[in-house]
Amino acid sequence: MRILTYCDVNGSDILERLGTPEYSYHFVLEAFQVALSQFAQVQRIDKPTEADAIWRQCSDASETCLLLSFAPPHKTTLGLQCPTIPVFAWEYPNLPSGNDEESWLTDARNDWPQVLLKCGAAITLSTHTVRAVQDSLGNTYPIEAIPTPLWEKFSSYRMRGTLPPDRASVDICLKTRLVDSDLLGLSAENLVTSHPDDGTPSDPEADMLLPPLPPVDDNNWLVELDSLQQDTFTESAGISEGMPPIDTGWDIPPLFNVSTRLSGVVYTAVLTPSDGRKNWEDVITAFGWAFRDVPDATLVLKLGGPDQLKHHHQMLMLMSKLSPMKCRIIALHGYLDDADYGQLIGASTYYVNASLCEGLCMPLMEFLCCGVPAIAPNHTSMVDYLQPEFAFMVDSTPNLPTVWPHGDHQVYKTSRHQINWHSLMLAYQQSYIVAKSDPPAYAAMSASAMADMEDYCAIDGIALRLQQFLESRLRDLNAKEAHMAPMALTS
Amino acid sequence: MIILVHTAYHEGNVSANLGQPEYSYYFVLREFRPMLEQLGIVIDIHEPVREVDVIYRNCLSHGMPCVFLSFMPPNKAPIGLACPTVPVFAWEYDNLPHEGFGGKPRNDWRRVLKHLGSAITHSSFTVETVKRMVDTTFPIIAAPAPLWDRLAAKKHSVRSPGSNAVRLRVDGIVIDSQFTDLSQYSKAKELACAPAPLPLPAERSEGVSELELDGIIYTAVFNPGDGRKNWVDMISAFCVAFAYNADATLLLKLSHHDISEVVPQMLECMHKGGDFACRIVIVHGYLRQDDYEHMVDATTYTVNTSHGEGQCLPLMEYMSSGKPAISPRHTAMLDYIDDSCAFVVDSFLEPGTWPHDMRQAFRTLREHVQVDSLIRAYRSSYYVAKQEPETYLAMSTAAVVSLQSYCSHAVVRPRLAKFLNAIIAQDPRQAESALPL
Repeated sequence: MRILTYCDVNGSDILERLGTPEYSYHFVLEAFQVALSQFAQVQRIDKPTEADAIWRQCSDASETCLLLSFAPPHKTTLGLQCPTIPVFAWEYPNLPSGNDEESWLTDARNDWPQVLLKCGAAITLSTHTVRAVQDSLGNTYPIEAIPTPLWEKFSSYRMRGTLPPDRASVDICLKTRLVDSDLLGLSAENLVTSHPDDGTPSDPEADMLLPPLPPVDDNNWLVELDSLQQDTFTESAGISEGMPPIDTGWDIPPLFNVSTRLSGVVYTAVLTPSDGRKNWEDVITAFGWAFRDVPDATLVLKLGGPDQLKHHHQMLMLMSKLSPMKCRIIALHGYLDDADYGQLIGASTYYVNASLCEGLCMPLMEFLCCGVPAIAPNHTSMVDYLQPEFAFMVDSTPNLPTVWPHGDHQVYKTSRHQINWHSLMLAYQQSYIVAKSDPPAYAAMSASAMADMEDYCAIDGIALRLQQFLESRLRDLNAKEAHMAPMALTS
Repeated sequence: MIILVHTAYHEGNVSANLGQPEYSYYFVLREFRPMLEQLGIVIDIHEPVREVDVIYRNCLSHGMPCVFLSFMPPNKAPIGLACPTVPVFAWEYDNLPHEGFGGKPRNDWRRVLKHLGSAITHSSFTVETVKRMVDTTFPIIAAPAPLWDRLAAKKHSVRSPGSNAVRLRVDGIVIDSQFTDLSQYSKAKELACAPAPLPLPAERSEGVSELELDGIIYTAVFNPGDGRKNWVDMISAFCVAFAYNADATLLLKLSHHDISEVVPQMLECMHKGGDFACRIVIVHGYLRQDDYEHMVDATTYTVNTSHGEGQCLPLMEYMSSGKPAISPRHTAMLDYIDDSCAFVVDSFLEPGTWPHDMRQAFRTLREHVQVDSLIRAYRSSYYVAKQEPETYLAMSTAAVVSLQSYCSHAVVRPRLAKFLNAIIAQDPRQAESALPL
C-alpha cells in the first residue's frame, strides 16, 4: 500500500508558522507518518496535485494508493483521481455549512458535509468530532477517531523518572524570551482605568476616628499544610549556564539563554493566546487568585502565535489587577527547541488546560505521557483520554454560543463550553495540597497518567487501527468500482 | 422616635440621574418611607454634617429618641456625628471593600462599620459577609425594601400565560427586533464606527406610542450601564433558546439617563444571535403608573441574569405581583428565589472588582450565570407557560408567598423597630437624657 501525505506546512517553514492553525497539522502529520510506515510505504508530497501521477504509477503496478490530506475539509483538494481522505481536528459540536458566512460563498468546500461526502471517508482525532460528523452525515459515514501517536516520542523524558511534586528548587536554563512577574514591581495602585472617582470623602482629621483593623486573611485552605516539612529536593538542569531573567517592562525581554530557579509547585500551560478558545485569562486569574499568598507556586506559560506584545501587555494588566500576589508567573514567548521543551516538562508538577473546546490538545497529551498530571475540563476531545485518576477535573457546561473560528465572526453559528472559573481556582488549590502533602498520591496520579496514555496513543495500536480503517476504505472503493463498472458498460 | 434620613438624590433630580452611582438608594428610601413613618417622625436631611446633630441635640434635650439613617454606601456615610448613624446599604459581593484605596481610609468599609457600630443591609448574604469580615457579633440586620404590601394588595389578573394580547402606552423610545434591520449592527459595522457608537435604528418609535405584546413575555427591568446586570448572556441565551419560537418575547425596560451607547451594543448582541424567530423589545422611557402595572400584568416571567444583587427591586416587585422568575440563586436572591417560584439558573464564582474601586483591581468574587442553564430555564419556563397552566399558577402563588416572607411589612417592620430601639438604647447620651413620660 502506498500512502501519500500532505499538509500545507513543511519542515522548512514551520518556524515561521508557529501558532497558526496549519502548524499543528504539521506535527500531527509527522507523528502519523511513523505509524503509517509500519504497514505502508509513505511518501510526503509538497502539493496535492502531485498525487495523481503517483496514483497512476501505482495503479499501473497494481499497488493501492491513497492520499491523506492533513487539513480541514475546506482546505482539502477535491477532484483528484487519487482517493483522498482528510485528516482533521475539530472542536465544535456541529460542522460548517456553505452558506453560514458571506465570505464562504466563493468556495463550495466551505460546506464541510459536502466535502466529506465527496471524499467518502475521513479520519479525525477525537470521538467528539466523530459525533459531530455523524450527526450531520449519519452514523454509517466512515470516520474514525485516531489520536496523534505521541507515546514513544517522549520515552527519553520518561527514562529520567518524575520529580517529587514539591521541590525546594529546580534550575532550568532555556533559550527563550522570558517574562518574570517577580521582577516587574507589579502593583494595582497605579492602574489607570476609565473608571471615575466616586466622590468618597476624605478628611485626615475625621478619618483618625476609624479604628485600625488587621489585613484580611483568606488562607484557611492552607491550614492543613502548616505542620508539614518543607521539601528539600533540588535539581539542576545543568545543561548550559545562562543569564538571569531581566525586566524590560512594557517590552518583552530579548531572546537569550535564561537561567532561573523554579521552586515549590510548578504549573505549566502551553498555548496560543490569540486563539480565544484557550481561555488563558482564566488560567492566569484563577492561579493568581488561588495563590496570592503562596510564594512557592509558579505558573509557567509557554506562549506562541501572533501579537506577542499585545498579549504581553494584556498579561501585565491581569497580573497588576491581581497584585500584590506572592506567587510567580513566568511567560516564555516563542519557540522552544526539543531539549528546552523537555526541561519544561521535567520541571512541571502539573499541566493546566482551561480551554473552551479542544480538537485534541497535544501539549496536554505530551505532558501526561511524561507523567505530569493535569488540571483540565472533561469536555470535547479531552473526554477521550482524561480520567479522574490523574486529572483534577474542572467543571464546564456546553452550549456557550460562539462564531466559527475561520468565518466572518459576525453571527453565532456554533457553541463551545463555559469554564467554571471557581472550579478551576479550587483545582489549583487542591492540586497544590496534594503536591505538598501527599507525594504517594501524586506518584500514583503520575503513574496512572502514563499507563492510560500508553493505551491511548502508543504507536502500535494506532498503526493497527489506521491499517484496518484504510484497508476497509480500499475495499469500499473496490466494491464501488465493481458496482460502477457494469453500469459503465451498459451506458 | 425621630428618624433622620438622607440619600444622594431626591424626587426633583433622580430621573435626570438614573443609572448614576447611588441613584437606586432613592428608590430604596422611597419604599422604606411609609414604614419608617409608622415607626416615628421622619425628617429628610439634605446636609447631614450641618443638620443631623442640631436635631439630635434638640431631641436629647426633650428626651426624644433619635437615630440617623444614611441611605448611602458606608464609604459615603458621615462618620463624625454625635447622633447614632446607621448606614443603610446594598452590597452583593463575596467580601467587603477592605482596603483604603485611592488614599481614602473610608474605602475600607470594615473600619467605617466598626466605627459606626451598626448597619442595615437588605440580604442575609450581606449580613453574613459583614459579620465574617467585621465582627461575628456586629449589630446588623437584613431589612429589604418593604414593597410586598404595595404590590400584593393590587388585584393582579391571574390569567393563563400568553392568553391574549395587551397594549401598553409608552412615552419614550421603543426598539423592536421585529421591525429593526439588525444587519446594520454587525460587529464589522460597530468596529468601523468606533469609537463612536452606531446610531439608534431609524425604525425606532419615539414619543408617545402603543406597544402591543402577546405570547409568552419575559421582562427584565434594569440599568444597562450597570455592568453587573449581564444583559449579554440574557439576550444571547434568549436568541438561542427561542430561535424557532415566534411567540416568545423578551421585554427590556431600561432605566438610564443615556442609552445611546448601550442600545447599539444590545442590537449587536441580537445581530450575533442570528436568524431568531423570537422577539426582543427595548423600552426606554417613562411609563405612567397604570401603564407600568399593565406591563407587569402582561409579563409571564421576570428575568435576572446578574453577577450579584443587593436586593433587586424590580425582581421583588414582579414576584410580589405573582410573576415567577428566571433567576440565579445567589447573593440577595438566596433569600427569596427557589425552585417553587423560579426557574433557577446555575451560576459560578469568578473574579470581580469592587464597583467603586477606580483601580478595578481583582479584590472580590462575583457570580456568573451558566449560559447552558439559562437556555434550559428559558425553555422549561416556556413549556410550563404553554403546557402546564397549573404549574404556572402554583409558581405564581409561591412567588407571592416567598416575597411576603422576605419583604412584607409584617416581616420587616418588627425587625427594623427592634433594631432601631436597640441602637437608641445603646446610645449613652440618649440613655442618660431619657425623660420619663
